[in-house]
This record gives sequence, structure tokens and C-alpha cells, in this order.
Amino acid sequence: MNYTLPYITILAGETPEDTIYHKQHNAVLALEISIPGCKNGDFDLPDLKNYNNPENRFIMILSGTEEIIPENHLNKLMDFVTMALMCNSYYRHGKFIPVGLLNCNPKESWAEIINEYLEKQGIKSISYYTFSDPGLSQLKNNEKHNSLVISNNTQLSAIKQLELFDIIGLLDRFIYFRGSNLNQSVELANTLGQIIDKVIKKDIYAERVLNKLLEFDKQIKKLEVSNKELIDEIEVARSFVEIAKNKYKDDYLELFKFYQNEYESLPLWYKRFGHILKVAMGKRTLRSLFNDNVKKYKD
Amino acid sequence: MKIQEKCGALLNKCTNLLITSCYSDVIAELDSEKAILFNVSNQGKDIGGKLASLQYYFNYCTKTDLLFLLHDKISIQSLNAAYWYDKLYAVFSDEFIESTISSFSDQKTGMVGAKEFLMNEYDPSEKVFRTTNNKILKQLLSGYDLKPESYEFIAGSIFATRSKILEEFFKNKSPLKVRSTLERGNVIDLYEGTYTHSWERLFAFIISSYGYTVKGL
Repeated sequence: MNYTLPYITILAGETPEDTIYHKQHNAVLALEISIPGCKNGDFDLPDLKNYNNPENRFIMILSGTEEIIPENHLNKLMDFVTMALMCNSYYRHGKFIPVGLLNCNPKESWAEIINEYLEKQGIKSISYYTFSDPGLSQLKNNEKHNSLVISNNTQLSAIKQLELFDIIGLLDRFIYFRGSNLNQSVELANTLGQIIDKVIKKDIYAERVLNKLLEFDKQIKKLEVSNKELIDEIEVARSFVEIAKNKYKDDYLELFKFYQNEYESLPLWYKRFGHILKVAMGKRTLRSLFNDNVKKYKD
Repeated sequence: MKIQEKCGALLNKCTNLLITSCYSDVIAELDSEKAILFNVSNQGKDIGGKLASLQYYFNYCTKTDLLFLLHDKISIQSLNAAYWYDKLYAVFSDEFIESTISSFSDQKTGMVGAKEFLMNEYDPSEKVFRTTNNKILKQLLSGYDLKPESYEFIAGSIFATRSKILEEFFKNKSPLKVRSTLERGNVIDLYEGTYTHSWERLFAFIISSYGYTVKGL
């Protein structure tokens, strides 16, 4: 099914064999980690290999209420979080790296813990998105970092009351389709997609405007990324200029001194004899001794 | 990519190919289906990228006998960077890779790199490292309880090593934890020592502490 969706689709489930849905709708796979599960020493973290491949885009969603986790387990969890965020397949929302918090209370506390670890790894620009379940009633709530969860229990019929402006309000927001497996998640995403598509297509101009907005949004995100990288590159370039100002000067002076002491101070007749020796050793062409316009040194 | 041109045989041969970069356009240029890609922060220069790769390798990859830790050596601060680049990579080039690998048939060999870069800064008479990194190196050696038999290392950090030695060293330590101690951005050690440049040396000291030798070819 090919339709325009203003939101970013996140799907729960294992790595898909069939990636058609992903490609059509730029859907993102959820890597959900249950925090209470991390309380015990034997918690299993997912295999990142299944997520970090060129066919996928994934986003991490930490779920569960705040619980005290022993430090060694927290370290293990945070190493996992850091590694996941470094994966090239991790979904980047423009210049931001999004992390989902599902039913995590209080949100600030987890964001603080994660930020403390990530800062030590030089990872900035993390953006936290709160997902609450059930979240359909929040559809009309335009708070940017509030995102939606749609599960098997969600009454999708309520969405039919949505108006065009509500849908435009979804632009750039995440909707997490949390089925019990990937097929169910895709099914939920398709159902909502069809309903929203009908509302959009009621008005041909609205569809055009929405497509334009999506296009602009895509361009802005691309520019944001290149802008961020260019700022980093300028920073690196500046540091090299500083090095060049100091070190090249030192290197040049050292080389010049070496040349003066080792060669320039020799008598002229000795230096000339040296050139004849170079010819004898095959390092310089004979003709170059008499003519400045011929090749001097052999490669 | 320069490395791809020079070390194509090695890249084709390897079981796991992990590539880290700070820039998305560099990653976008890569066309190897085999490569597992990471978009890392600019921390610890190449050492930071290598530690991130090691973290992934230890946790998610099939272990191999040898590890090749290479990086796109662009030292703009060096007057003749291209010359050093060729020298550093020669032992991993298509021409010499087989003999580099076979040098590990000597069970004592723990690390191999270009002989031009095999260095030793330790002054036994004064018991100091003749580098700005002296203080940090001593702190790291004592912190990790490392007692190397030799203080030789491969400057430039482009080398091959036995996986099992690093697996053993990092058994109870996370490479990411080490990475968190490294400096951000494009640090240099011309005027004062850095953890990043100290780790450039420490990899070889780890090898030597486990009773293996560091060889220049």
C-alpha cells in the first residue's frame, strides 16, 4: 500500500525478512529494552547484529518504571545503549539522536543517567521522546516530544474523528506500533495509515500541501546534519591551523638549520665535486651539469 | 577509500570488517556489503574508534585469531604525511599481507607493524619515557598492573595483533570505559601528554605484559 504518512512509523518485532514495508514508509524498527529486566544479573540484551545492518533503521525504546539497578548492571546496560547509538543503522532525526522512553517515570531521571554516560563518550544531541500507552487521546496534543503508542488494545476507530489539522500536527512525530510480533505491528500501522490517508485524500490541495511540508522537512533535516558536521569539521580545521602555525614553523627552522650546518657550510669546490659524484653514481644526469633545461634527477 | 585500494586483499579475507567514522558522508561512500558501520563521536581520534570497534567485536562478533587495527592515517600536522602513510600500510598491502600473517606462526609474536615505526621511548637509566606522555603512561601501567618486558610500540597505531591477548585484557574491562577517558577532538601531544596518545603505546605494552613480542616488519 502506497500512501503518504506525516509521521515516523516505529514497528515492534524482530528483524524482518521482508523489508518492503520498511522501504515504502521509511519505517523504523523498535529495539525495546525493559529496564526492570535489567535489575537482575542475568538480563539478556538483544543482539545488536540483528539491528545494525544496512536494510534496517532502528530506534531504542527503554521501557518500565524507574528502579534501582546495581551499578555493574547499569554499566552493562549503558555500554549497550552507547554501542546501539553508535550503530550506523540507528535512526537519526535530523541532527538529533532520538531515544524513546516508554512508561518511564520520571523521564528526567533516566535522561540524566543516560546523558551522564553518553557525555563521557562524546555523544551529544540526544533527544528523548516519551511514549505513553495508551496514547491515542494525545493525538491532539501537540507537545513535540510526546509520542504515541498504538497496540492491539488501542481503539483505532477513535482516530476517524481526526481532522486534517490534527494530522498535520503529527508531522515529524513518532508513532510506535506495538504489536505482539512484526506482522501485527505492520497490520496496525497499515490500518492507521489507511484511515489517515482517507482523511488526507479528501482534499487534493491538502495532500499537496502535506507532501510539500514533508519534502521541506526532509530537506531541513538533511541540512541540519550537514550543518552539524561542517561545524565539527571547521573545529578540526581550526585546530590544524593552530598546529600549523606553531609546529610547521618549528619544523621549518629545524630543517633550515640542518641544511645550513650540514650542507651550506661546506666549501663551494666540495659541493661541486659532490655533483660530479652524483653523476658517477647514476643519481644525476650528465647533461644537467651543462644545461639547466634538461631533466636533472632520475626518478 | 585509500585503505581499500592498498589493502584490498586483507579486507576481502577478513571475517569481520568493522568501520567507524565521525562523518556520515564518509560512511555513505563505503560500498562494502561486508562492513559493519558505526557513526562515532570524535573522541580519542583513531584509538576511540578502535575501542568502540573492540567493544562490538567482543560482544557480537565471531572471534578470530588475529585482529588488524587500521585507520585512515591523515596527519595533516606531519610534513610528509603521504610518505608515512605508505610506510605504515606497506606490511598490510596486498603484496606483503601473507608474510605479515605468517609472522604470527611464531607463537611468541603478539603484535606486528611497520618496522620504521617500531619505537622505544623508555630510558632505563632514568626510568622515564622520553615523551610528553610519560606521566600518564606510568599511571596507566600501574593502574592496569601491567609489567611489560619491553617498551617497544608501533607508532601510528596501525598493527595486527592476536585477538586472545586483548580478549584476556578486556575480560573484566569495557573498552568503552577506556574510551570515556580519552580526549575529544583532534588532540595532539606535542606540548603535553594525552590519554589518547598514551593508549597508542599501551596496546603494545599490554601485548608485552602477556609475554608476547612486538615485531616490526
